[in-house]
This record gives sequence, structure tokens and C-alpha cells, in this order.
Amino acid sequence: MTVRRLTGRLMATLALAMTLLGGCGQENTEPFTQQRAYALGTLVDISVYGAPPEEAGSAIQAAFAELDRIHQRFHAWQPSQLTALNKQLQAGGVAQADPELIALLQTARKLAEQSGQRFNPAAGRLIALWGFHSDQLPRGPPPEADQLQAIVKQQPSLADITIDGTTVTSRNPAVQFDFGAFAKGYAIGRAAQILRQQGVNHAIVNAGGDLIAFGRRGQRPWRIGIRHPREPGLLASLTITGTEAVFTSGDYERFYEYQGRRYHHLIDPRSGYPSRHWASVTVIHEDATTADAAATALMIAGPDQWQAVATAMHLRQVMLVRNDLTVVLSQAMAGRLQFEVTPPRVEVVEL
Amino acid sequence: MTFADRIVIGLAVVAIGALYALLWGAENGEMVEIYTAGGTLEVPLAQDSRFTVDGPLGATRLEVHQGRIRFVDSPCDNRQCIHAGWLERPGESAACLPNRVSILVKGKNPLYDAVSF
Repeated sequence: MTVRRLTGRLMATLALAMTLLGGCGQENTEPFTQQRAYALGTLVDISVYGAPPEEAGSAIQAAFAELDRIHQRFHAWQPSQLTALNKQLQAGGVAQADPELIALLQTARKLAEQSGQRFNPAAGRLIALWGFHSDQLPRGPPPEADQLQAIVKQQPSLADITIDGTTVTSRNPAVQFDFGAFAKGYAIGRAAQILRQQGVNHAIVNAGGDLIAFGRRGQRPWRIGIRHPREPGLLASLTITGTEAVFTSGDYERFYEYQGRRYHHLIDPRSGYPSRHWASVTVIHEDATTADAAATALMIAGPDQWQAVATAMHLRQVMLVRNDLTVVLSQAMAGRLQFEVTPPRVEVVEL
Repeated sequence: MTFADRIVIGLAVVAIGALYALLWGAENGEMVEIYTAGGTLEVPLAQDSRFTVDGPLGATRLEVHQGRIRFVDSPCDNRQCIHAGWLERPGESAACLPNRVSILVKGKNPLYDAVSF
């Protein structure tokens, strides 16, 4: 072998090695900023990639401020715009609301209708009766059946509401709003908007396990884990490169146990009791508000109805975990999800 | 095999070794950040320790052992923080929301950027 050929081979090997090493090494060449704070009644992590730390820091602060603003305005049991609306409706069936609240009511009405009222933010009285209108978890016993039935029978829903300009009229005295099943989606969607307005192109806003991600983490996509509903650690994982929200609802999030039985916060507005069809449901959607409402709606929809609800809500990517830990995946979800723990059985369903 | 071939093969082996170290070498976290109502502290995972932090409900006890960290005890109802078990990989996180204590394992290349639950 001549010296020239040797040099050529060495150069080729080095070039290959540097390409490979360079590709991996670039992952951390740009700044990464992460801040954690209590917001929306939970722990929120905001991660920003590729923006100078100072700019990232001020963008994150602006996003946290927006989360706080929304949390205060639409709090379900501390004095807020929403409790004021509820009070007015209770007193006389008529209330005034500002444009943001009107827009939220309209969005909620559409989503509730699509879900067949399984997502029902007008059934706030049920949540209150179950004792979930508190920072502390209730200890039981569960409410009396006749008290629950009294509310269920009145069928409060957003279909009972008429909106005219800024005036909200209710035909049903049982209507009391609780935005718990979609306000977090709205809030993190807004936080993502604020980050973008501040020049952030790559970020995750993770509010207590419900998140929206956009952009990438340098050379690689964002990596998202989905927690196992019954064991520590992950059930599955996936990657995100565009803008997507991932919402998981589960019976293990807010619950109490009474005489050996678990009562969680996802109350079926049609029965008055916590739904027991699924251990957890994960929904991915580009719109965080939709993803939030849909995760709740599917938790409450039974095994026979969830597909109809998913179709009506225009969902393509869902995972449902049964109590026996068998898993149902939509085809689009199956195409991108990787299991970290092998479920006893996986069914793939076309949506 | 010529001498030059051996050099090329040798370099390739070194390159593979370097890649291995880069991609899989730093899998476990180095530090853990502990967020409390009173502020944030950083603790190395390399050194075994047991310590207590205070929150609005009382004392939360944590343990670092063999490069991992866990909640040992916390004055909350659901004990979700304790059920979270040991954390060791960058990006892994657990929290005792009622007592405002949360932990996050830090490291260069987290396996996951966020976890949905």
C-alpha cells in the first residue's frame, strides 16, 4: 500500500468517525433552559431549546405569568371570573362574561356536543359534591346516591346555555361550570403561543403530566414517555417534531380510597359516579384544549362508545389502557408508539 | 493484511469505542435537583446520603443510594411520591405536590424530555 492510499483510508475513516460523532455531539451545542414552578394547581416544567438563556428565561416567565392568569380567572372553587358566572347563573339564570370566557364556553359547548356530553363542564355540581373542589383530597365516604341522582336527573349541560354577545343565559338551574377537564389544555396552549411570540422555536410546556411540545431538541425530536398506570416507570414512549399536545387521564391521578374502593375525579356526568372503564387514556392532538377534553371524554366513554366519541371529536391518535392492562391503540398511534413494558395484549383499531 | 490495514482497523475500533462512550456512557444522572417551598438545592447522585427537607405539611425524607434517589417518607395522603420508587436517569422526576417537594434527575442526554401521566 502506498503512503497516499494509506492517507486516503485514514482520512475516510476519520471523516466517517467525525460525521457520526459530530451528529451526536451537536445535540447539546445549543443552550437548553428548564424552569419548574407550581402553576395551574400542579407542577409545571417549561423546557426551551436553542434560545439564549436570558431570552429563554424571560419567555418562560411570560409563559408562567399566562398560566397564573388563566388559573386565577377560571378557578372552579376560589373566587374567579368563573365562580362569579356560576353565582349569577344560580341567582337568576343570566350572567355577563367577557370575550375570553365567552370564547371558552363556545369551545367547550362544541367539544361537549361532539363527546355526547361525556365531557361536560356544566356538571360542576357533581365534582363539588364528590369533594374534589378542594386542594386537599376528600377522604370519603362517597356522596349519597340520591344526592348524586338529583343532579344527574337535571342533566345540566352546555346545551342549556344561550350566548348572546356577552350575555349568558341558562335554562337549567343545575348548570354550574367547572373547567377542570379542559382549562389546563387551554392554558398550556396559550403558554406555547406566548413562548413562540417571544421568539422560542423549540419548547415543551409540561403541566403535571399533560404537555404541549413544538420544534425539536436540536438534532433529535422531543422524546415523550407515557407513564404506566399501575407501576412506577413508563408504559410507552414516542417522539414529537411538530406541534402536538399529549394528554393522559387516569384513575390514579386524583383519587381517594374508602373501604377498599377507589374513587377518582373523572366523574361520569350520566351516572354521577367515577368511570371505571379504563385505567388511563392518552390522546395526542395538535390543539391542547381538544386533547384535554378528549382524554376526559374517552375515559368516561365505555368500550362500546369510545370509537364513536373519538370519531366525532376528530381524534386520530389515542391509547386506552384497560384495568387488566390490555391496550387499545388507534392505527395512527400504533404507528409511532413504542412500548417500554409489553402489555398482555394490544388491539389496533382504525379511527 | 498490511500494516496500513491494521492502522485503519485500529482507528475504527477506537472510533466505535468513542461512539459507545458518547451514546451510552452517560446514561445515569449526575445530579438531582430538589425543589422545595423554601428554594432549590442540588445533590450529587454519586454520594450516598439521607436528608430531610421541609414543606408546608412537614418533613419529607429522601434517600440517595448507589446513584439513585427516592422519597422515603412524606406527610401526604396518596404517597404517590413514595410509590414513584427509585429515580436514576436524566429527566426522571417525582413530586409530593401537597408538601411542595419535587425532584428532577439532571444529566446531559435525558432519555425523555417529558412524561405524560
